Amino acid sequence: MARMKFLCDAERCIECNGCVTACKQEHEVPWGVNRRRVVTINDGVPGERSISVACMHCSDAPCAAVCPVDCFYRTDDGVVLHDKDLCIGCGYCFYACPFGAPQFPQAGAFGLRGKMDKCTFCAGGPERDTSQVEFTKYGRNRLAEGKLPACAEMCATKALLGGDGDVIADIYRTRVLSRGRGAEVWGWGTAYGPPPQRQQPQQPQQQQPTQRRS
Amino acid sequence: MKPHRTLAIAAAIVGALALAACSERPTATATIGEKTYRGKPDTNPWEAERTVFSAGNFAPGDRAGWEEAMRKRAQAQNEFQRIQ
Repeated sequence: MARMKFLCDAERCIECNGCVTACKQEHEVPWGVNRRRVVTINDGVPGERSISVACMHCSDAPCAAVCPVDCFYRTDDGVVLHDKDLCIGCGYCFYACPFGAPQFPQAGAFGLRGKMDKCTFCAGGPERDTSQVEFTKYGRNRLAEGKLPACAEMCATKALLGGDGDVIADIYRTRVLSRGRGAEVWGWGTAYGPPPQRQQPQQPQQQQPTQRRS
Repeated sequence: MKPHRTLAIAAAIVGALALAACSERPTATATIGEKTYRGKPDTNPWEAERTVFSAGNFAPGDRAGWEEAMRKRAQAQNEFQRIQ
């Protein structure tokens, strides 16, 4: 079963913002809302690294844990989505998210927040697939069209990988072995938990002679 | 007095029915952790009708075909595969 994940290779990201542009264009995201953005650390100094950040569709999504109206759900392929008809725009999910993924369009004067908007892994939302209503509320449903997220497919250097976790992990492993460095997978520990520990073979327990008490 | 009593009973029955309509119905379709999703149900991507924009070779409802199409599509991100 597919388990959709994003993986950003900090060794390859050149901060071109192509992923951001692809996302905004594909889903016609309004001004002030960035479902994806590029974060650069050590900007302008040796060791500069850039990472493309969006919703990582966490295994145990903290946004869902704090949502007071329970509008989050997870699809069978591991994508965390939400129902905008239920969202009240409280902003709790924004404070809970370790990646700053939830976005809130300004819905009026005095800083009034609209309903939360975030990366959908190009999987739409709880409306009829590939319908106009789904597109208006959540953006294009590329997964239903047999495609992967636009940001990952558009990435020129293939720094951003998207798709089944096992497949993209294999791609990344091949890449790391080829170049011999840069094995760090940014954000995966936070989003999907620590890697599973290898089980040590259990040593047979020696039977202790039992003492009888009279 | 009797018409008033009948009217009161009828009003009570109508009120009870009206309040029953306000009760919350469980709509859970998927959960994350201990939370119960209360929104609208969603359909799976492999169940969608094909459109002119559809890629891959899978019929609506063919989950295995959809997953295979996704795997093939993901390999397009693997330049080690593409340059061979």
